Amino acid sequence: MSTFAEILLNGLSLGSVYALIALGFVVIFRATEVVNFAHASLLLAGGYVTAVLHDDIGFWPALLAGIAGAALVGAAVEFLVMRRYRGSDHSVLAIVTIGVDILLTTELTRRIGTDVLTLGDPWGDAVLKAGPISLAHTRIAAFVAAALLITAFLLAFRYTAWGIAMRAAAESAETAALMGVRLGRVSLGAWAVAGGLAAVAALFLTVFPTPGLERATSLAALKAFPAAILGGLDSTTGALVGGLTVGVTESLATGYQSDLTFLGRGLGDLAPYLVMVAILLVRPAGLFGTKELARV
Amino acid sequence: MTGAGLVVRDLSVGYGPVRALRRVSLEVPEGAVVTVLGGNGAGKSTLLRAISRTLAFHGGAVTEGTVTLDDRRLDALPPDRVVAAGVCQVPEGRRVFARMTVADNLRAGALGGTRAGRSAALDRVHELFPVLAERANQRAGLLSGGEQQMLAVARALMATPRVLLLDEPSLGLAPLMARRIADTVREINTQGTSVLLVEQNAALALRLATRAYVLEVGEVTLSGPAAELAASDEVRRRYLGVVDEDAASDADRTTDRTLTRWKG
Repeated sequence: MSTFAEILLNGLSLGSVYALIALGFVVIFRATEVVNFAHASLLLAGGYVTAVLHDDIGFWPALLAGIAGAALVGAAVEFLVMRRYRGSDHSVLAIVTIGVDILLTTELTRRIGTDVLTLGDPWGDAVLKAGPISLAHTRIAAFVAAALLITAFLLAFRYTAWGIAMRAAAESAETAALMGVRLGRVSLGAWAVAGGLAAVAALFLTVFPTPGLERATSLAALKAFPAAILGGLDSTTGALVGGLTVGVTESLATGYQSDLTFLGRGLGDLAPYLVMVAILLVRPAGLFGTKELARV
Repeated sequence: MTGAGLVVRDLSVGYGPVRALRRVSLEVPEGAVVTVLGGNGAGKSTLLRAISRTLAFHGGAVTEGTVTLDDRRLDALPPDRVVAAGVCQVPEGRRVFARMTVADNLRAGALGGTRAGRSAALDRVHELFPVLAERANQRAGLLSGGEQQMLAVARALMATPRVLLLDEPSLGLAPLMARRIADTVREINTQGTSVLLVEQNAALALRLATRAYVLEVGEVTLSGPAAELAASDEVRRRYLGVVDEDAASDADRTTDRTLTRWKG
């Protein structure tokens, strides 16, 4: 029983990190209707900045620099690339983001090489023992940080002018423009926020028990795709639920792998996608995706 | 010859190779209600898009001419600056933000302004449309058509515009609701906002407006004081559906071909 509780808690913690990534994904989709395939490379960029700087300036400043760095990269992608294509078909824009992703990931993996970079986090490999359950400090920190950030984000999304502008633009860019919403600024903000959230996620994807930031980290980030999609691409609630679902599924599949050997190895990586397909079969718009709701 | 108010001069607009407006000129003097009449495809919505600078969303562009508000050029500004300059449009078909609450819709309209200006504008809007205060926390998509139109007008008023552009506010509304919207437009105007009203419902528009323009295939074919236009034969026949002798004989000729029920 205790292993089940452990697996579940680890899964929730991992899921909250996926939720952070998925949230950024959803924010960009809502503000610009673009499916951002470059999201994993933003994450890698944030993690890389933190990894490079932490020795010289300490962990917390390095983390802030990583967040700022990823936000800047996101904003730069929007400003230098996406903006040139404004008005193009959304599928064209999605393909442009694949190009951006290839460029960024190639450069970053070239820099990282075969190294495994640590991010210098303060939690190390300490483990909290409560009765039969033991949980790594990093997992607790991940959950708390993700919960705080997500709460802050959702409050901002609901109550601030920025959030209102973003939701208005998500519903109809033209009408939002008629009301004086600055679409360029909304889209720039979305990319920057998504980058910042991804940088935090990068930290928690690379701390204990994972060895550190390496080339494969961007593959881990890809799991936020099924999270965002099964939640419904345009729903912030969906990103949260989707993230947690993917995290718990992955954790359970990995944890009970020894009982499932007939399925072969690597089930943990596969399970999130299976869940996604199963959910989409029943609810094609995702769990919380919008089905049009309007009276005419 | 420019002056106070919104002035459109020799405006031509094209969507790619397609000319939508040809050297259109019109004026909305300070405090006036001006209407633009015309059938489908006459270029009415294009005119409003050109003023509020949202042509790019439809692949269109201004090819010549100017739009000015009190001698200040609007035709090179981005849409948000046009709103900031004091010109705000209520789009055709209401286009409320259906997934947002009524209150959030109104906030979205006031994003450009200051906090103090916003609460004053909100008071004014709630006074004009008490129903919006009652429904503040309801999703806009669930309002009735008439209430959505009120919300669309209210949302534009939140930007405290000096000139309000209205694109077919009576479209798809029950006659009673259309009349209420008309009363509101009059009320808004007496509070000091100029109105440029684009309508297919010519009877309603001519009653509201002091001056009217008739747009046909992208050109202004008639213009003058609304009362004069309302009395002119051509407008009566074509836009008001008033059938006098000539028109009646026209109608006789065209209805020779009787309609038969299709038996397929």
